[in-house]
Amino acid sequence: MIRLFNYELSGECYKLRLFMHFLRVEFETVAVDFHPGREHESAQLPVLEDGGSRLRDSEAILVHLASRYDASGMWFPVEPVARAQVAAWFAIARDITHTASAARLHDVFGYELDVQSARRDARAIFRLVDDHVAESEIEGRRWLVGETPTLADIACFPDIALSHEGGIARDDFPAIRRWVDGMRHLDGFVAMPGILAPPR
Amino acid sequence: MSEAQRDAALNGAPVDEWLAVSAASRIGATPLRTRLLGRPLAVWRDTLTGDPVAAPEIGAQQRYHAIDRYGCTWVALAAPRRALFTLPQYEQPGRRVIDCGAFGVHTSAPRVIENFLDMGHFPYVHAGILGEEPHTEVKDYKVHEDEHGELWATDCAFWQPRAAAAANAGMDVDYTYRVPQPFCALLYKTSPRMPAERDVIALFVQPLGEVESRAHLLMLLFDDEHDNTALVSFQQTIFGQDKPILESQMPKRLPLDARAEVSTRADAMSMAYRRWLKATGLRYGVEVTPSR
Amino acid sequence: MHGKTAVHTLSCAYHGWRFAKDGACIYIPAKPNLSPPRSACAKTYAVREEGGLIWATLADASWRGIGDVQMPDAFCRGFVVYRSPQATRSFLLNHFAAVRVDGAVMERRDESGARCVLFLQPMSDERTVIYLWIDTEDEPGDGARIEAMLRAARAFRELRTQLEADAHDAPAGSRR
Repeated sequence: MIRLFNYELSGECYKLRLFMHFLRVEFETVAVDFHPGREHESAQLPVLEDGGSRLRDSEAILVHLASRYDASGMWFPVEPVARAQVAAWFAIARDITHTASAARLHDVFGYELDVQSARRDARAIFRLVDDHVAESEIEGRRWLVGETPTLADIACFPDIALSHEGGIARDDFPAIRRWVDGMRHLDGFVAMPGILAPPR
Repeated sequence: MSEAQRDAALNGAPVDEWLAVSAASRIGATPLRTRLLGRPLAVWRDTLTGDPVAAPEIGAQQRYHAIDRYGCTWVALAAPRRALFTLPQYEQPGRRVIDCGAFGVHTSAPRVIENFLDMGHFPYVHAGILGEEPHTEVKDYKVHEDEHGELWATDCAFWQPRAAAAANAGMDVDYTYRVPQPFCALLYKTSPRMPAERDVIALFVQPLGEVESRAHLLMLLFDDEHDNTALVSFQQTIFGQDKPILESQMPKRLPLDARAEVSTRADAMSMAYRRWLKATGLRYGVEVTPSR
Repeated sequence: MHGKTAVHTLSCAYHGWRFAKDGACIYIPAKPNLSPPRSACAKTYAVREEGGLIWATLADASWRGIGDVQMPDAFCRGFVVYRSPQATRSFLLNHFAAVRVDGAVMERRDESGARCVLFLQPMSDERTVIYLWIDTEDEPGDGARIEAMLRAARAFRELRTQLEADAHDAPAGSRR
């Protein structure tokens, strides 16, 4: 059984919980403490154990899970150009983590950092993502890469959907709001504190 | 008159109340920098005496009042007008004291407290844990003010699918709420492990500013099976679910006028809390229409 | 308000209160046997769907249509602009030649004669939403149509940058 070392309020851990629900892969969670001031411990989250391998880094784990459990190949496309595009979005997801998630660490968990810069930089990235999604919609597409959800969407979703907790409202980004709603309505979606599931 | 007292005279801020600022275990030689009632605050521990020390900033001569109680460090910006409330369960043998962390919330302290006193949201915000449709009814309960001026709600009952980390099945839970001071609330609920005792969940809200708060969560309970992490995770999940609702409530300052927001008998404790706050003269984090 | 819609009711995510289309509260789950008080109601506004857009009014304005502007056939996208509605409107009027304006609707033709229509939504004192529509000759789903829409969207994105840079104290990075 896959074991996920997990903190319930962590966006990085939620990426994996969410993706494993989409994949309908069974897993058990091992609760890990998260305390500001002990970042060296929490920097180790998420950690996933699968079949004797111990894996770190949320994007790396997403690639592992997709490669092993997604027979359809939808989530991490085999086609080279699409695969490269998904990988490029991992870099954008990192930027979103360093900005929007940093603002959330400040506001919710009391981290000391330059939150005004974090929010300003997050909004600049959100504007780019909003424009990308709006232009994709012109082409009849509503996911970050191609015609289906991919790991690009998973990687970016938590920090964007939790941005309000860091003082970044999504009122100015209507295409992003539609994209978030699209994710929430995917079969197998699960919530986390701060991200509501759609009503049944 | 100190600057703090001058400000208090102007804006009804509770500068003479003890306000929680941190888990005591997190206060050490390295100062914690935070805010209280809109003012900067530095808190550290005196290495000789072991006592907490509070000041506007690290190099300042001025000192605020600081004490450790119930696992938290408390600060009063002006001479406190009364002793901190009592909490006998803190010293009770067999009880575990669990620091469940502190969370920033973009709303006023009274909004955070009021939500804590509300049961009607359990089947919706905490579905599958603290409540579940169709068990949505909030039966009538009793509200009273005791001889110390503390507000109580008793004989509250609610059916919960998973009342605590230690609960394996749904159960009827008895709730008692206590509000000993404006920004503190305590919940006494049936203990799944020791049905004759009550688990205590404490919420101490630190007003960083009027519409910016930090919620300090503490549990005092009987549970010899689950480790701290599982218990903390349960409490933090609950709080994390409340956060987006709290942050969406408008206005952020709690309206104290009876007609400002619609209520029913299910909201008896919320209404009592608002009336009680108004009677204290608090003018911080609240909205009061000036009387004609 | 967070909520869900089910058939013709809106349900609040906090306590599950249910509201009918006219805004009246029809059910309070915490008190299932209680008739909700009449004061328990959600404020409603007049709304209508016209020409592929949703229109609303916060007061009692009566509907007067979009004047004699012909509705174009292709909706490109909406743009949130970090400027006030007045500043946005002024900028667009100054920037374009041959603009026909009717309230919140602006119609123009570019150098090649292609027509586009802009609908302005006053979001707040600091925010305006612009809905960009264009005429195309091609069928829906046609690659050339999509190309035309993308070209228009990208051109307007450039314009938005200029519009926002035009402010003396542009709130482009302001916290909201």
